[in-house]
Amino acid sequence: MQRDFAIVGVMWAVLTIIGELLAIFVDFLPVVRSDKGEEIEEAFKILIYMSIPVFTFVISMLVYSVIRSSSSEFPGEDGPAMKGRGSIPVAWLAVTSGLALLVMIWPGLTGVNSLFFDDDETELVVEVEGVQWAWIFNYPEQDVSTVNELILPLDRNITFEITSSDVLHSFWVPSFLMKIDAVPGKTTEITLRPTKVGSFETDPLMRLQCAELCGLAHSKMVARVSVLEAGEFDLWAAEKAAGPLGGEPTPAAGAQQIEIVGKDILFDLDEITVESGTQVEIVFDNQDAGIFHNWAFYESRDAAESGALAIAGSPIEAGPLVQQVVFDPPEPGTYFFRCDVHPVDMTGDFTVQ
Amino acid sequence: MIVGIVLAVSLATAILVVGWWGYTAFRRIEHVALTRTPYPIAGGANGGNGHGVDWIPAAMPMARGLIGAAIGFGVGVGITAIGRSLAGDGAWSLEMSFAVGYVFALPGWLMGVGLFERWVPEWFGRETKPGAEGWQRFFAFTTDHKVIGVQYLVTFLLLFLVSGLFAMLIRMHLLEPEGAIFSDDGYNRVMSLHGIIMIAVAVAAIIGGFGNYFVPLMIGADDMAFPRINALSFWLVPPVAVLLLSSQAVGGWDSGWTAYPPLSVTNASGQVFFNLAIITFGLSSILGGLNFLVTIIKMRAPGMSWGRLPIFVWSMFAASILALLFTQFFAAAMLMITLDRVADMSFFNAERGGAPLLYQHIFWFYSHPAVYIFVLPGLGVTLEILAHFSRKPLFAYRWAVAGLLGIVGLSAVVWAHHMFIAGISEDLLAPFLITTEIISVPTGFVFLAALGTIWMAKLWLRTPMLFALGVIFNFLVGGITGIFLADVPTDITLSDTYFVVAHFHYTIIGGEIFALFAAIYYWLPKITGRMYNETLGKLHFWLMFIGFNATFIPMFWLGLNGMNRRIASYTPDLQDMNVVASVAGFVMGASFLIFVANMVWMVVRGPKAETNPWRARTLEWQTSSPPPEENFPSPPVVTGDPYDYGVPGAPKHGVFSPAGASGEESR
Repeated sequence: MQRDFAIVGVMWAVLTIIGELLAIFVDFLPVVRSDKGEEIEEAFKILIYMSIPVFTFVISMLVYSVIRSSSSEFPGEDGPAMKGRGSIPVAWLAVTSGLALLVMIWPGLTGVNSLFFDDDETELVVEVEGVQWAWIFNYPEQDVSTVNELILPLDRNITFEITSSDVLHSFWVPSFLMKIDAVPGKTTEITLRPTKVGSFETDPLMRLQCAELCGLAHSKMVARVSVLEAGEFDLWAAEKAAGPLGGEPTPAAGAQQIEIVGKDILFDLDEITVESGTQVEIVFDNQDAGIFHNWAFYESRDAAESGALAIAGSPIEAGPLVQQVVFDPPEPGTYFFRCDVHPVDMTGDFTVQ
Repeated sequence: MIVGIVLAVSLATAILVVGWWGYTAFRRIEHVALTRTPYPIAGGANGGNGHGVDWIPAAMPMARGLIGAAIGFGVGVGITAIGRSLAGDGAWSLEMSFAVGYVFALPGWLMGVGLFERWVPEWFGRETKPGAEGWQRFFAFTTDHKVIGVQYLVTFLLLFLVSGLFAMLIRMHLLEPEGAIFSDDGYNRVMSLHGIIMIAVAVAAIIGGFGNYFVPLMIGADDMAFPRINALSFWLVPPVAVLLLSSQAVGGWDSGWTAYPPLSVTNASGQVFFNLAIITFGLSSILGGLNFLVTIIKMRAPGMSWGRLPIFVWSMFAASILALLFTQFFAAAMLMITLDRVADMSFFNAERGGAPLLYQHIFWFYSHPAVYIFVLPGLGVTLEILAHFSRKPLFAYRWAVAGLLGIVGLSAVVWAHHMFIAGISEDLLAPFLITTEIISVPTGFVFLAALGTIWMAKLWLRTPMLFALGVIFNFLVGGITGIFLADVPTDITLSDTYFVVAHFHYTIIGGEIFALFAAIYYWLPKITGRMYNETLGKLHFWLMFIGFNATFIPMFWLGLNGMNRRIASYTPDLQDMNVVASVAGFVMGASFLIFVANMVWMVVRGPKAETNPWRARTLEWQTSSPPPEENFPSPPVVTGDPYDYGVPGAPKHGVFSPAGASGEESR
């Protein structure tokens, strides 16, 4: 039996070395872009290094036992009659308990402590609201709101105050690695610091993906995430704060009034035509109780989908209510309107003649 | 309002009259059918095969059950209509009328299917009718644990194959980033349906099928402690399957098998069908757990001390404790959602003082122990087979038992590890991390027993043994990746991703479904009296094993690379690995065609199985294949350990008093 133990020992050692080398050179997680994400990646690697010897031990025992003696024919003789009543189970208990204690403390409890109980000073607050099926962001200090577009500054401690207005959602940016559910009637928090500049266009993991099943369009409840240099972020926020979504509507006499109804997550019009040269007043009647809509006017569908600012639009609010959007129509041509919360189902062409 | 009451009363009366008329007409047809063709001859499991299958009498109990259900449903709908009219609402509301109707339909079904004839008269001191005989027993309210075992096994294998087809559709859909075949809603519904049916299979296929058939045989009993409760447990299952599948007619449900509110309070009405199905299935599960516990405690043969109990029986004992104590919490959670929907309560409505997180605590308080209800019997089967096919004693038997019971104890205090990212208090993270990591220690005992048993053995590599060895590998992967999900720092990012999907498929398919197939190849020769085809069996194993691993290993990568679970569409960078997983999934799916072919071959052409084809020591192999109705030729007496292979001078595990077991060697 000593020879068998020696062979298994060698197998175990060789497989472990191969496994650990692979683990060092394989990148398990893609580019990590937040401070807490880096801690999580570290914990993941530690667990991988620890689990490889356990895995290779069982595999060596298993594979060697099969190679040593196995047959489709009835083996004929029994035994040896090892009952496992001696010290082996006690040793097994000691080793497995030790391993469990180890992963419990490091990277487990140490990680909990640094991820959740090391309070960094918050330098930016972003309020996040999940609605079926969009993300609404509010930057209270900057007086800026966006939908499905999360713009963040590099190297600032950002606290996300997360809630939901309908069902459960979950706040997860894969490249930040942090995640927490959005729960109705409750605010949950994540604090982290982005460590790399980047955007969804170049890294598909730079997206805020709803990770908790939330019904029909769950898989499409995605917001683009961009991390900008701090100065660029401040510029963006200043520009956005002055943007059209904040303006007060004051229709002039003789404005062309268009009424549009939002009901059952659909507009009643998919085409609006106006004359150029006269002010336009859109009266948007959101009849969906408890559902967030708005009416926003864009250069084109492509412009809207690539994150360009709306030319005009109303704030995102839950129905039932009536909103007004007043603006001067641009040059004749074909434009685009949509509800920012429901960019798939609530869209239409806007023609200026 | 008065019009409403009048309408409701007349509706209820009409249903009762039509129901009664249908029932009596049915009894006349039945009478004609029965006098035209006699019952098949009484006998063993194959009794009645000789003169063909007579479907009409066989279909009678279920048809009576349907009529009973229809009458009950009418009563419930009528009562709802009266109540609603008195309150000034419309007489019919899909969810409320259906829910109340179902409450009355379920006892109606049970009465019709057999309770009314086989049980109720005794409550009033009258004689009950004798049960069906021969072939028809498999379609009737029957108290023989072996028949019930077969009923469970066939029902859940069919559900497994149906739900496996859903899995194939899911993998087809995910071949393309935008989704290839379903609408978003269609995907969510199929994914939810696949989830819950497979959960039901995981709960009941081994426990209901092999537990029922073999626990009494392995402990030397002639039946379960409560044979009629056993039959009741099984006949609660068909309504569950009907509810889950028919829910699709009213929009299905899109909240997964976990049914988290508020989504599950506001989605389509299929959710109510789901809730009622779970409550019914829970009742079946609780009754089954109670029955197994009493059977194992009270019905053991003389000499069958706790230390001589086969490990599969121990695993059934452990799983039954969990089923008895915890299932009620899932049912309670479902009841609360139903009440939120149909009775305007607000357990989970935050705006009206409810708490969405409350549900998750109640749900996981059952559903984490539930994964051990799935896996423990699977591990029991695995250790059982490893010992018999290694021809060695089960290594560290007592430690393995301690491991099973240790898991039972700890499973009650680990539930919140499913909620690390749910928004629970940060102070709860550390305690649940600690308890969850501790549970790896008793689980480790099972690995100790498995590895110690095959160590230095001459392994007999037949199909059951291949599946059992497969369990060790798969459950190892499942167990190790579980560490990543128990440690909070890594769970934060892995939770709700495909890493979790891969992990739980490794534990449930890898740890239980592989064990289910090990059990099928191991025990079906005893049940059918025929042998399966060894070549097809091995082919099934290798295709399933390779297909399974090639399906789910890519999913670990997908989870790490930003694919979250339950999504109908994904970003294009994830397509390649999804295609790999899908193609491998189809290979795994194809392996079940071979399995079905093998089963058909076994029943049609399979050679006759010996009493003890595996030369195993345990009691079920000492009686004929299939066993007689009373299980043993004479009551067995247990005289030694079940796994004493190669122990010099070891007594037989069991012997039969005077009549003897026809000279069969018991080893």
